[in-house]
Amino acid sequence: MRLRILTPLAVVVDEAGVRALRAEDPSGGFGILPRHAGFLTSLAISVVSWIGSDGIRRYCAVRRGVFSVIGGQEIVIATREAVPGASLATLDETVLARFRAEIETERTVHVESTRLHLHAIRQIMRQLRPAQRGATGMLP
Amino acid sequence: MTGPTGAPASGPGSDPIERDPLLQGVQLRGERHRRWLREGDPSVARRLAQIGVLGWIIVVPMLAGIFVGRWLDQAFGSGLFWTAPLLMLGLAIGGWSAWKWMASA
Repeated sequence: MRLRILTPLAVVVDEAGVRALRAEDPSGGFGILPRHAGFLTSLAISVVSWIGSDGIRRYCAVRRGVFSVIGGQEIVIATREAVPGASLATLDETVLARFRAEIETERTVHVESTRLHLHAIRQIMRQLRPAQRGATGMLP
Repeated sequence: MTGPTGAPASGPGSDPIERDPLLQGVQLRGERHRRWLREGDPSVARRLAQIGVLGWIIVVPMLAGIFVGRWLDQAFGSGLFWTAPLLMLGLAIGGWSAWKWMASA
């Protein structure tokens, strides 16, 4: 089976040869094997796990999402947020680290955009001042 | 808002992240996984013990009802007048507490 986990911003997982997959919707956990009938459900906030072609189980935390099996050979999960990880025991730390990094990035971006705004305002002021002196009566 | 207070101390700034439902869900599943790694699947004996507890929860109030009923009947010499209702009462209490126990387990 081919598994794809998509968020609005990125393709988080795109893997062929998936042997089996487990996920959770509000009614509980379920498993999907190749040649499963077409299937559509909405996932809970949960952890999706699957066995790849190498026989190793991998995990991905998802924040809700739409889960669909297409033609028994393709699984697509469209979710708001997905954090992949190699081990369930350490996935919480991975998620926490990801959140921290995102907040840090957001903070930096915020500072940068504020700096940009101030720069623009300063520039406008600089451009307006000589004009103000030259044509005081035209501005108001 | 969180910038000036959250930046120097990591405590208050990290709180809203740790209350995130995604993180809590992952932590819950990670904890279950670690427990499974530690203890393995619950053994047959443990499952039987659980079922046994359910049985005792129902049976013990019934036995207590019979005991108290017999004692009262002997004291008053009234045949089965107290034993039968107290047996039924014990059954009701046992069923009710078994229901509560199942809901909590």
